[in-house]
Amino acid sequence: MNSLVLCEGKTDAILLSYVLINQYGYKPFKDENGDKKNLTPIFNSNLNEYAYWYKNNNSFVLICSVDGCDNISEFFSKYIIPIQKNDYKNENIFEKIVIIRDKDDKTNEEIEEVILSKTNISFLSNKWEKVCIETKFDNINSFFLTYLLIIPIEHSGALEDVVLTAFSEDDNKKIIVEKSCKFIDDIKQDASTYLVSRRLISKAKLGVTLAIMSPEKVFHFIDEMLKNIDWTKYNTIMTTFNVLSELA
Amino acid sequence: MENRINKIFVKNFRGLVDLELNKLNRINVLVGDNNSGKTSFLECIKLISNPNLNNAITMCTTRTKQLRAGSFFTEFINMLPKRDNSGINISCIFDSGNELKYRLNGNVVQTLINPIEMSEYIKIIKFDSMQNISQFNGKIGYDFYNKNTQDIKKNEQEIKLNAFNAFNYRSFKGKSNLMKVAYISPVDYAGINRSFDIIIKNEKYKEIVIESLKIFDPYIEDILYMKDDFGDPIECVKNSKVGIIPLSCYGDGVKKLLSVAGGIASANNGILLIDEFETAIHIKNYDDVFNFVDKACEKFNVQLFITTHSIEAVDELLKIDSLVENSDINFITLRKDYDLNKTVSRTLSAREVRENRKNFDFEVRL
Repeated sequence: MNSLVLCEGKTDAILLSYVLINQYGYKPFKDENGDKKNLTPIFNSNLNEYAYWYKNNNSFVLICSVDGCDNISEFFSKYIIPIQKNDYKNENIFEKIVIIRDKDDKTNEEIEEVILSKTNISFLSNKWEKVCIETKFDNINSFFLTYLLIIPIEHSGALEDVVLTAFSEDDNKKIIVEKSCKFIDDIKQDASTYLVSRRLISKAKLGVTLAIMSPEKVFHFIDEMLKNIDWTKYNTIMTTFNVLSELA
Repeated sequence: MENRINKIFVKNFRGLVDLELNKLNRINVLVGDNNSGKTSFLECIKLISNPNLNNAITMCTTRTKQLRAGSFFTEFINMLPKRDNSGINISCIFDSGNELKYRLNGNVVQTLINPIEMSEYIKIIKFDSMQNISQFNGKIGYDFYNKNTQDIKKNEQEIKLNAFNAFNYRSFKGKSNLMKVAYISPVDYAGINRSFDIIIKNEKYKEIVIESLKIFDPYIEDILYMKDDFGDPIECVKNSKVGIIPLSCYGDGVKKLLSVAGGIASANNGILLIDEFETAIHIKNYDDVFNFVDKACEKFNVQLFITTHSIEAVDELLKIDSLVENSDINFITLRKDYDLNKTVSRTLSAREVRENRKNFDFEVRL
């Protein structure tokens, strides 16, 4: 079975692949026989791309990041719908598709509506939805399941907030998170040239937290730092991405 | 193009079951897995072009050229669908609105045949006893609806075919060419006498073909007949470097192009069927050969059906902008679906295939 997880950015993709590998036993899958080749979208070279297959027994998962939530619907319509429409055999399409995106300041319903209006495919938050699509093979119908995971689940925000919440599970780190957040909140007026959006403010809070926790790696990319954290110890991350357990 | 097939429905023919193709184009590229029915589809067009028993037996033996085969009768029986006695049913609608419905049905019975009858069929062998043999009793026929005149021409022929009379199948009556169709099998380029003749007789076309042959050998100047040691004509190529040499000494690329060029000319205002189009052509020459075929088919007003297994060939066809932009070419994927018990198809425009190839390495052949 093939599943697709579509997320906003490379950071999301790294975390998701971490959970898939370390929590659910998937392994990175190199398509040496070309079996999955025709199911791998090729990104616009302008995008900050990430597309990797993972395999666990007969379950194959493709994680794709599309460089921002604004690109999700367009990417889905341009690359994924043609894949789904050009076949009806399970081995040649995605049977399950999960979109993971940040809640930001929107409601779940608003996000569902935007995706539906742009893709014509129904994605419901935190719920599997069975979708029927007419294929180009003699107009035979094919079916697949969709799922929309909006993070954080409980409140507004983005992936960075989920990570910070995860760090706060540890009392030693909780104080660092709180003080880093307070620092950014205090400075954001003075740094308004840089911290122009809620999203960037969240990134700055995570950046400061990580810089304190790993000062020697402060000049590394955040993604590299995130890769080196044992996320299986953080309940928040495991609970948030619990939907990945249902891809097999 | 009046004679262009617009739609075709194959109820049963060899492995094809309930195949329906609509909006066929000037150029139709058939792709699909092995045994998906690509060759059968070409054969079914050839079959209905001349709906008589003689052609049916000729068609059923086209695949046996390279193999040890049974009798014509065995080949004929195996061309019929196995699942029931409904026989072969094919109907097609032309751009003109004319419609052709072809049928060949019946069943196999056991019958006694006496030595005199047997000897009439096979004169070189003397038989001395009655034999119990299998015989196909059925009918072959067609309805042809002419939209202009609103006439329906009906034709039906009783068939009693067995292993003995099938041996002399060329004696069966029936000249009923309804469509002009030329067929080139993957190995036909090895014997291209007829193609050569057609090209030689059309001086203007010959010049174009010679120009195209330079794809394979820039020193080819002419094609001509010479006489062999016994005075019989043989096909030759004039080369500015090595002189006149028999075509048989040339590589398969030259023979293939001559075969296709002859096929296009002989299908003038009709249909050309090429099985495994890319056979004998080097990948680096695909673009030039395809360009030649496209232009020649357009000039001779020929609807083209080709099969291919080569993704490189597909990609080269997609590079011909004029074909893609003018929507003159379709890619038809055939698939035998055992769950649905039918042959399913997917018809895509070249533009769609090109876009999908670019976006996700789309495998159009499966």
